[in-house]
Amino acid sequence: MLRSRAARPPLVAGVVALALLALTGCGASEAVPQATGTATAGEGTTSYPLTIEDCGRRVTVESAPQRIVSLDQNSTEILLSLGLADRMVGTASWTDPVLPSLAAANERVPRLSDNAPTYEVLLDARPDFVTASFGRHYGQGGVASRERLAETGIGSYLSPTDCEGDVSINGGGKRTQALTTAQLYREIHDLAEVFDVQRRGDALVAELRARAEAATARTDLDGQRAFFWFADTKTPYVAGGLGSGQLLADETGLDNVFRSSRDDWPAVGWEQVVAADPQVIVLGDLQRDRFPGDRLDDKIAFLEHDPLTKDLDAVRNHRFVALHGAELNPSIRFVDGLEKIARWSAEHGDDR
Amino acid sequence: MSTALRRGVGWRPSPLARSLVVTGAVLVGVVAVALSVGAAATLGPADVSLVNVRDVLLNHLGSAQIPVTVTDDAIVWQERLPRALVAAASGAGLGLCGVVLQALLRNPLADPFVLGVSSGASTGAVLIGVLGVGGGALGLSSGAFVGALLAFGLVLLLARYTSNGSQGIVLAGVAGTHLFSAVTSFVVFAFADADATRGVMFWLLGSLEGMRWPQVWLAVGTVTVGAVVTLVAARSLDAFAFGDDVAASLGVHVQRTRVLLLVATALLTAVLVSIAGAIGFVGLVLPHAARLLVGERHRRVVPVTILLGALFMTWVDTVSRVAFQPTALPVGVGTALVGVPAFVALLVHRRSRS
Repeated sequence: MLRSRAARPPLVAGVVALALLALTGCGASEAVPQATGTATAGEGTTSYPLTIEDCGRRVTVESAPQRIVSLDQNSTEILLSLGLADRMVGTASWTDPVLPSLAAANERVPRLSDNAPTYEVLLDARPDFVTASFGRHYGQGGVASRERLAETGIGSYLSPTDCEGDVSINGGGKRTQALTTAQLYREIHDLAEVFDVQRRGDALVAELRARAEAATARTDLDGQRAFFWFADTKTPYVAGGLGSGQLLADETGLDNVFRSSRDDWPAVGWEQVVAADPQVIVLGDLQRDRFPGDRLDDKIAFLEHDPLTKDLDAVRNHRFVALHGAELNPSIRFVDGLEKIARWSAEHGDDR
Repeated sequence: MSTALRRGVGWRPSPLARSLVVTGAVLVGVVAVALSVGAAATLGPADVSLVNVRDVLLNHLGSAQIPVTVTDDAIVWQERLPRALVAAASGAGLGLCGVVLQALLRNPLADPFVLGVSSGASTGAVLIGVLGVGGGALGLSSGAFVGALLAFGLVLLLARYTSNGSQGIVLAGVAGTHLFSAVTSFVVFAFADADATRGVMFWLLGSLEGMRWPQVWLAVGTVTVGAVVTLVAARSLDAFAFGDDVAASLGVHVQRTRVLLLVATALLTAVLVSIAGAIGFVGLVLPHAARLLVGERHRRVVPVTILLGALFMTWVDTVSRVAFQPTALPVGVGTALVGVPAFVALLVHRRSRS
């Protein structure tokens, strides 16, 4: 017994080698494909090698990446908005249908998976650069760490909206400072610089800024108490005081009743909601059916029938604003969220 | 027991012939494990040709210098192979722990986690992952390892001060398991948001994502040591089956041997849990499968369980990587989904033969 055990490692190696030789012994080795000569040129506005500061680490990019995989929908939509579809080789983690204006471009990019792909699936797309909105993809249990990606020469980027120093909020950290619109725009500038399309990046930011200013200039809800309900009917997930929900509130003059929480989406009890007596209820209209009350209709039905909530003034008077999930999370659709609140404010803002 | 008696009345080969048969079967098993690991290196969602897999392996094992793409090399040598080897080592190690604990505690329901090791590991991992104890210097793995050992130590203390014997240990294990599960739930409930817990929990259910060579050496090394210790103690394990008194009369230092083996299995389980999370089913059921195949004697049951465990986990993990692409099924789910039908089939087959 013991003798055969001791002989194990060389035996294993030998058997593996023999088996492989038997299987493929006659096959000639395949030529290694050279990097494609038809690199898509950028604008020439970025000079490489480029080093940017990203989430507490310095990321150096030797030349404009040609094969980009985006691991999150917001990252995907920024890249598509920057006209980079021809350099993208994969998308993943879809939570909503793609923005209609980007649907045609998105058709040209393979969808690796609806949720997070495995490391091997990611590698199979042969990327040279990976972008993400949420840090969990680079953490334990995620797709792969950024160090590991770097080993095979794959650059990586994480959205500044998810970072505070080198801590990823989504990867388990907590914000100590409120999210700002500057972080949203910084992501666009960073990506535009990395992929050498800075003029398009400037144009995109200018357009989003102009829309945001137009929406907020005519909107001041004058400190009305607002309850942002993202999901779940048992212990509702609500906007805390440092995340994107609070940013929407600040920009439109709403008073977020759960602003003292430091989590992005803390779970609260209905008693706290009723005690806060909100005047406006911002509802997540999520395009999924994972938890009870994901859909807008379910949320409204719950509020109107639950004995605790049905007598709230905001519920009786139907003072609801419906926003999609992406509009409530840090993303370029944040501006769509502002516009929806502005539109609602123009129509119903004063009838309380 | 009944199997052993039944086998006793049939044809009785000479000791030499019998040990030759056993050695031969073990050799066949080792070859099968090696072939399975090799096969796992060729299978996966990514499109890497057989020729490329061969070239990558020749480059690393035989110091050849065949040009392959960095990506192919990473997929085969840094992802599939370490993963398959850790799977094989985990299967072997968990099966081994199951055999030892079922014999020591004289309880067919004992598994590697019966002494609170996995729930201690989850508490440790959650404290690190959610509360940030240690300021990021400690990874989830070291948290899990420390937690597992603390839980095991507490269970031993409980057992020592409450009662003696195998039943007392099992009860102390149940108490410890529930206590640490409650602490884990409390930390998750009070301090974690959904995403922070998701990472920790996914991993605790058993996950072989992101295995690298350091984990391979750790797992294979620990399992090898554990296997040697167990094989040396195989006779004592046989004696424990008859109860402590009989074992003592057969010349076994009951208390000393039991504590030694308990500590050895706890260490082995803690290492495996800290690498790949708490993979269920393997440690509970494969020892029974091995006994159905070769009877009750631990000289045979131990090596057969080790090989079965290695084969089983390698293939379950390969299937769950390939069949559920582009997302991988957590391996703990796959072990039960594939393992339970196989085990039931074995039971039915056995019954119809007797």
